[in-house]
Amino acid sequence: MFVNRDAALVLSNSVILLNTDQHNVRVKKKMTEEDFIRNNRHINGGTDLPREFLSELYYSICRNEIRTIPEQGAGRSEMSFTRWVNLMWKSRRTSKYIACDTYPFFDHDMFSAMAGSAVAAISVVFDNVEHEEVLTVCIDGFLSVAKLAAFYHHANVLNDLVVALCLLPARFTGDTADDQDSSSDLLPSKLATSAVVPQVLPVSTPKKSYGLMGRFSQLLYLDAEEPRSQPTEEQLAAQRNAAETVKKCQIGTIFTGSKFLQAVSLSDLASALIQAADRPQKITSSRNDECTAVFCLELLITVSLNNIDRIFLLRQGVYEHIAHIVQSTVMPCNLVEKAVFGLLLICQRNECVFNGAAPSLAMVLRTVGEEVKMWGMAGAGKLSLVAGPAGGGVGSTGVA
Amino acid sequence: MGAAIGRLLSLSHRLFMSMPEARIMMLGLDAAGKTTILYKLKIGEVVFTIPTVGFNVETVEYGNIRFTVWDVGGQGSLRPLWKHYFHGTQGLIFVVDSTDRERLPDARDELNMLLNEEELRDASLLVFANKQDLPNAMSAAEMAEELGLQSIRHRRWYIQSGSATSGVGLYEGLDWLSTNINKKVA
Repeated sequence: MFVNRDAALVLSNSVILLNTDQHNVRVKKKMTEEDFIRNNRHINGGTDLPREFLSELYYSICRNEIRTIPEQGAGRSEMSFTRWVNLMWKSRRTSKYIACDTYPFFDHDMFSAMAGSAVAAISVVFDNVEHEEVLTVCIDGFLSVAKLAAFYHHANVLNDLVVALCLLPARFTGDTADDQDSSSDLLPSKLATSAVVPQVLPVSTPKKSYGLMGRFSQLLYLDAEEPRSQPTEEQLAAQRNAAETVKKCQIGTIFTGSKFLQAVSLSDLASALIQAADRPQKITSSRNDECTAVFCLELLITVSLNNIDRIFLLRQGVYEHIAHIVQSTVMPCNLVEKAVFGLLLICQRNECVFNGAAPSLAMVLRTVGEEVKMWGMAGAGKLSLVAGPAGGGVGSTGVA
Repeated sequence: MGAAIGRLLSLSHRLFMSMPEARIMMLGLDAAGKTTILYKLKIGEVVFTIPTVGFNVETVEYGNIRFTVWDVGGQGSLRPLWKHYFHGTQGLIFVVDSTDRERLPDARDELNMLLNEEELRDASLLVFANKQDLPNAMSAAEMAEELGLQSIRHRRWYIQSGSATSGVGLYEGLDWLSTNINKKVA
């Protein structure tokens, strides 16, 4: 049909032209069939192509736009500039998310399929970015996953999310990274292994803690963290809200339920608590730090009491910690009282369970007794009251 | 006389109508930078362009004129096909790559053929000496000489040097066009 190659080239370009003409919204005056035929006059080596052929081409193009974007998403897709520009304008006008009006038949399955990847992806970003805005977006993402998981009653996803969150600040502090591998599949054990809650509690450390749990712990210490200026109504409401939220989280069950932990996790939990309690004292000894220390100590004692049947796992650490408190504190204070009292509690419970074996504990008691005596000589009368009901080795405190 | 009436008409249009429209053809050899110019004008950003298939057309509002700019690519052998769009063209932007000395004669031939098009008879000519930000770019004067602009008769023409990627010179060119075309009100 074509007399030379040029004819084919010109006609193909003519068709492309017609295609753009007919399907580009910016072209207001469209080419008519007559226009198209006239435009292709004399292109076939000076003669015309058959009119019926051109006419058929014209209507075929009008009906079916030639698209260079592949139907299946195989590799790269080609975008025309007009499309790009349209898209850019559209993106400025539309809201963040494109609403999809299909029925949510597959949402549950889709969420199950993608939740893990989503959490992993957000975690990576969260872990590597220091930009406040991006972190906020990440937290929103975590919250969205949590909400969806709750909506679909996806306990596993929720559990995995909590685990992922717990692992995040652990990376910031970099302390328990090795332990993570040894954790079992049980959620509480994982939680305890990373033991992030107590680790990030001392928020007064010089480097600001970016972890979610770090912020969470700030909430725990909201009163102490607040500057002394008068809080507004809003702030008070927020405080109440935060306090309630924290309460609802039932963080305490991690510690009271610690008897279900595996041995490794239990030891990790205890050492994390001890670490958290010890750390701030090295920097300052403000009231804040004492609160932290007392808080950690109480938790430690709770854990110990709940695991008295396997106290051998904790004995060494708890003993050293309490001995450290009693020996290193310069002034008599709440912390020491609690330490001694706690130790005695553990001791007593231990006696009940094992019928008083542990020689090392006796040594502790002796040490404590001596310390208390020293305190007593220094004028700390209340100590004796604390130590009073101890029975056992501490009964020899002389000062009344 | 015709020009005087045209000017009078355009004046009265400018007085009584809000937004005059101008139909602008943007032409030039391939890789001269036509598409980049078009989208720099349209969205103020430099878009990554590929050789144009078919054509691009956008409306750009500048001053109080709505320019409909047709960016038509392709070789000279396909120009007969463009004739359909030449009708009613008031302004012609001829884009030249200022660094492409080798093909400057081709550009001159192309331009001459365009200026001989009956449909473009009334179109004012803006030559845009593009890619001035690159080293080795020819000056506007040098290019006017090479393109033979001095010998153009019966037509308003102007050469503007600039750069599509930086945007330098683009609006100066449109300024010239807006005062040198016979605007038609939509």
